[in-house]
Amino acid sequence: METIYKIIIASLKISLFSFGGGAAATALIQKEYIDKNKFMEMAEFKKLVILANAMPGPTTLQLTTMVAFNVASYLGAVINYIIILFLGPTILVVALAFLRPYINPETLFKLSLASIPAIVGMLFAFTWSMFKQDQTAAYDWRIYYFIFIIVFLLLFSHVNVIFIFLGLIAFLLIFKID
Amino acid sequence: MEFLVFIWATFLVGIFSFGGGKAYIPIFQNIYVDQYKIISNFQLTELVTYAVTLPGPIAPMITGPVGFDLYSVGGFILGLFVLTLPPFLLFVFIWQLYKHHSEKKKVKVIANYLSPAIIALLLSVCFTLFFGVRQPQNYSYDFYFITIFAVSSIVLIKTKIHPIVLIIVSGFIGYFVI
Repeated sequence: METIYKIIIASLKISLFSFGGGAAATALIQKEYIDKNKFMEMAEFKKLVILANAMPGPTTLQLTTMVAFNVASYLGAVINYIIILFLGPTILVVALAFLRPYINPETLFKLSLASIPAIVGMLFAFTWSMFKQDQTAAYDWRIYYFIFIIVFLLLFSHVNVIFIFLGLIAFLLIFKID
Repeated sequence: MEFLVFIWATFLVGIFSFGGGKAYIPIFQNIYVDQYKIISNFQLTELVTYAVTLPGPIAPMITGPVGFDLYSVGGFILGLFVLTLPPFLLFVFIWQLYKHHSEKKKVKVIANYLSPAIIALLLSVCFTLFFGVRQPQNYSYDFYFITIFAVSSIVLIKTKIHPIVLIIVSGFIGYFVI
């Protein structure tokens, strides 16, 4: 029961503070679900992050629900799923229905502009910790080229993530790299 | 009949939304606006503004209000489930498949090489978020962004301060500075 309570608190925090979309929320999810509450091992969480980003559907929802399932089975997963899926849209619908004359889009936009740098900082710190833990980086310096090429492709070529992942898997299988 | 069109379009958005976050927006544009004419371009633009500035997963923040506008609470709840459940079940299926075969050598190699790819993906999200909020000619915002980004990433790497604290502090400072 205590675990369920922890899941409720963690998912409420994620729903209310995950500005900037799914991938940016990964750092916050790691902090809440893995660092603080230890719902899952970091090594397994990393694999979940890869899969959630490569598959369709909201990343935040998929990641947190699988982690909740890991500690609290179906009950935890369902509660987590409902909170993450419904809280944000419900707040938005209620706000649009009753508070529309009072909402100032300028203010909202300003708040989001103000908090995005901290989100990017958080995401960078998380990426940095992943990079340091990554075993491949420890012995093979070519990994820097590899990361650079993928960042370049994602930023400038408008290739969807899924094709980069699939291409990578095909490359590894065809050239039998191990 | 129109209700079924809404459900079908939502299902399509759900299963084709690879990449997460802002990658959804062209898919909504294509399916909701151009193909099935469920909402107008103007409505979509307004919802996107709210979805991107408010916290929470982006796609449900668009489908939720659309479903509520058209078919009240039923449309809201059903729309959100149709949007997220099929990709989620697919995700669970692939995850189970991976766990079942995780001891095989080929699967291990792929998981190993996808790990730097995810680092690259997260890094590219950092850049995209920065260029997404940056305004042309507004150098004082660039300065604000880089300062808050640098301070928060160093603080998060070196100390154990909770990221939510930093998000609130930067929102507060930025509201008065920008």
